[in-house]
Amino acid sequence: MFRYLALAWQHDDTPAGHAAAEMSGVLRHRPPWQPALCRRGLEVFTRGSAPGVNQALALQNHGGVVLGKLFRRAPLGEAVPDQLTLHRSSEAADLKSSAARLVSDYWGRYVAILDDGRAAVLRDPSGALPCFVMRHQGVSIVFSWLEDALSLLPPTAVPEVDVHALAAHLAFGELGGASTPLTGITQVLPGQLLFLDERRPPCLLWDAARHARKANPMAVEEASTALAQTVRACTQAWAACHQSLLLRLSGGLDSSILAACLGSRVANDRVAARVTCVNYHSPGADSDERRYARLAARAAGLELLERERHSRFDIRGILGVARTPAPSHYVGRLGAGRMDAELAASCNAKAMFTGGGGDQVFYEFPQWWPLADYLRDHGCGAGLPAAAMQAARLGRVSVWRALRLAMTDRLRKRRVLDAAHKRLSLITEAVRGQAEHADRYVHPALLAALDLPIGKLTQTQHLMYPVAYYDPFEREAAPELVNPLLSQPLVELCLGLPSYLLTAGGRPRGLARRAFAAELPAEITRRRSKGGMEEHITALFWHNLGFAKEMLLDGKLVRWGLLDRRLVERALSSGSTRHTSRIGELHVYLGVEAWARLWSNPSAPP
Amino acid sequence: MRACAIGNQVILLDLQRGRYFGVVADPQCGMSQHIDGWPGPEGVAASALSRRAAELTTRLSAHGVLTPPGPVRDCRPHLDEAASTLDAYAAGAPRRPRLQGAAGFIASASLAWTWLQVCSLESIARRITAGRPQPSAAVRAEMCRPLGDAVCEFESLRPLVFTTRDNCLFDSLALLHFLGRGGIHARWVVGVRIQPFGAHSWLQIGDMVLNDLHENVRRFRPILVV
Repeated sequence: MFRYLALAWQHDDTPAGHAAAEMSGVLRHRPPWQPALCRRGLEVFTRGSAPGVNQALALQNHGGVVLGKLFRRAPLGEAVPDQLTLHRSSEAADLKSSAARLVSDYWGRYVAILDDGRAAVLRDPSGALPCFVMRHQGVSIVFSWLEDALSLLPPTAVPEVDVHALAAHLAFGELGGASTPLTGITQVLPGQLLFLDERRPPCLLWDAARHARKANPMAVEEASTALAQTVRACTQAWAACHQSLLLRLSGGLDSSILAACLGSRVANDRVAARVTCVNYHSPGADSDERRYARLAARAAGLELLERERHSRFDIRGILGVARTPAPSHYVGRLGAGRMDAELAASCNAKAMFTGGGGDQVFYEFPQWWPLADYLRDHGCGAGLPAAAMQAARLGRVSVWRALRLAMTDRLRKRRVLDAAHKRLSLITEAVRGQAEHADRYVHPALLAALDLPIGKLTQTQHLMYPVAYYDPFEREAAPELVNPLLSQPLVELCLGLPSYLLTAGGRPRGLARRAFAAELPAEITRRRSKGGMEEHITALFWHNLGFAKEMLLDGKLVRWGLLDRRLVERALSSGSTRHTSRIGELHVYLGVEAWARLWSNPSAPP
Repeated sequence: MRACAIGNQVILLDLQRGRYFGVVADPQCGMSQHIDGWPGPEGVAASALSRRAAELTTRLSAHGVLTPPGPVRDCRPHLDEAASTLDAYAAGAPRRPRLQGAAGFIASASLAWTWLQVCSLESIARRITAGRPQPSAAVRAEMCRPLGDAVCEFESLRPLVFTTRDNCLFDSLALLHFLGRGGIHARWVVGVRIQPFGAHSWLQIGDMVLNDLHENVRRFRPILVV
C-alpha cells in the first residue's frame, strides 16, 4: 500500500519549524517510512514503495520529487528513469512550467511535490493517487492516507465533521470540488497545481472540460484504430510493472477488452506478468455473468477463477472502516475485498486490474444526447437523419422526440447537479437545500463547462471524479487497484471524440465494440445486457436488516437532521407497501453513518 | 383480478380498471388456504385465518376484490424464469425493412394503440388468447433466424413511429402483433416490483426475453402472463 506524507512550512516561521521537526522526527523513527526529499521548509516521506510500481522519482536540478508511477507520452507507455529531467539546461524553467511539462509529456499515477524555494503539489490528471492537504501549527501536511496524517496529530487536532459538506455529499454523491466533509481538510483536484504557501492561488493545468472542447474530428475507422491502440498501450504499460496480477473479469465489455489486451494470444513482449482472471458471482441472472467471463478468458487464453459472493454477509464489517476524508461505498467491497486480498496472496499478485471507468470513457449512456452534440457540431446537415436514427435507437425514443429534445437542449438552462437529490427519498429539506449551494462543492471546471452539449457534458462530468485507490476495509491486505481505462491518454482521446462517434451504430460503447470486434467473442461485443448487483445487494440488505435499523433509526444522520427518521422507519419496516426508497440508497446511508460515527459531534449542525 | 406475492406483500392487479394495489400479508397468515387464487406457500397444512387476515378478507370483499366461491380457475402466472435476452443481431446485420414489413408494423402499432385506448387489460388479455395457438415453450433452433429478423425489422422501424422508453406496454403489444403476423407467438408478461413499486411489460418465449434485457425483467415478479 504505497503512501506518502509531505510537510511544508515557511522556513522563517520558527514555531512551524518546531512542529515540522517533531512530526518528521516521528516518521523517521517509524519504519517503514522512508525520506524521499529533505529540504529547508519541505520534507517528504513514503512507504510501500516498490521499484517499477510506485516509487519516489527525484526531479533534476532540485526541482522536487514525483511520487507514484510515471510513463512517457511518446512513445506511449514507456517507463521513465529514476531521475527525471523536465527541462533542458538551456530552458528557463519555473515551477508552473515544470508542472505543465509533467502533465503534457507524461502520464501515470502520481503526485509531484515541486519546490522553487516555496513548495507546491501537483496531482496527476487521472487523480488515481489520492492527495489531501491539512494545516497544523503552520505546517501544511500533504497526504494520501488520512490515518497517517492523524497519527502525527494530538487528539485535540483531529478534524470534525462539516455537516453542511456532509449534507452536500448526501445530496450530490461524491463532492468533486476541493471541499471534503471534514473541517480543515481539502482535496487537491486532479490536474491541479496547489501552492502550499497559500499566497499564490491554485491553478488547474488539466481539466476534462478543456479536452471535451477540443472536438477531435475523426472518421469512424480512424477513431476505432486510435482507440484500440491507446487502450492496448495503456493497459500493457500498467501490466509491465508487475510480475503477477489479477484481472477482475466480470464478463462485461470493459473487462473483456482488458483481457484481450493482456491475453497470451496477443503477440507482444510487453506483458510478462502472469495474469489470473477472477469472476465474482452470486445467485440471480444480473449477478451471474460467468458464461461471458468464461468466453472472454478462453478467447484471451487466460486462467479464470470463479468465486461466489456471500449474500448473507454480515455488514457489521463497515464499522471497522478506516478514517478517510469522505465516506466510502462499501457494497462490492465487503466480502469481495477479502476475497481479493486472499486471491492476491495465493497468486502472489500485488495488483488487481479492473475495467472501472469504461462506462464513462467508452460512453455507456443510453440516451438521445449524442444528437444534441451532433446538432451543435454540424447543424442541420446531410448527416442529420442518420444521426437522429442512431440517437433514437440509443435512447429508445422516437426519432421525432429525439430531434425535438436535441433542438431544445440549447435553450435549456443547465444547473449543476440538477436532479441528483430529487431521486433520494429519505433526506430532509436541509439536505435538499444544499442544491442551492452546489457551486461550493463541485469541481470548478464543471461550472465553466455547462455550455457543453448535454452528451459531452455528461461524460465530462462523470470523468471528474477519481476512483478510490485504497480499500478502507482491507487496508494493507488489499492488492493495488489499477484501472487502465482511466489512463490519461485514453481519457483525453475519448473526451475529444464526439459522443455520436463513441456510440457508433446507435449502441452504447459502439466505437469500443467496433475497435475490439476482432479480438472478442461476438457474443460479448454484441451483448446489450450489463451485469449488475441488484439482486445481491437486495439479499444482503434484508439479511442485515436488524443492523440497518440499529444504525439508521437513531444514528448521527438522523440526529444531525440529514435523514428523516419517520421516512427511514417506514423504509425499514415490513408493514407498508409504500416504500419509495431504493435498496442502493439505503446502503449508501449505512456507509455514511458508519463513517460519521468515527468522528466527534460537529459543533453546529445545520 | 391477478395477484402475486413479493416478500410479505401481495400485489393485486385489477384488470378491469387497470389499477394496482398492495396488501401487507404475512405468507403464513393462512389466506392462501382460504382464498382461491391468493398467492402463498404451497404444501402448507390448512390453518385457521389469523385475526388480521380475517379483517383483511372482510375489507377486500367489501372492495369487490374477493367474490363468492365459484368454478376454480388457476390464474397463477406460469412462466419460465427469464434467463436470456434475444440477440437479434446474432444472424448478422439486419436487413433493410421491407415494404410488407413496414405495412405490418403500422398495422400492429395501430392495433396496439387502439386496444390501449378503448380496452381494459382484461379485454386485451381475452383478445390475445382468443383464436391464437399456444405460444412456443422455448425458442427452437429453426425459429432463431425468423425471430431475430422479425425483431430486427421491428426495431429498425420503431424509432420512426414511437418511443419505447417508459412505454413498455405499448411496445410489447405492438411487437406481439407484429410477431403474430409472421406466425411467431410469444407470451405477453406484466410484472411488478416493490421498494419502490413499479410495473413493467415485456414479451417472452420460454426463458428468452424478446424486447428487453433479461437482467432488467428479473427485477419484476410476473403478475399476468398471457
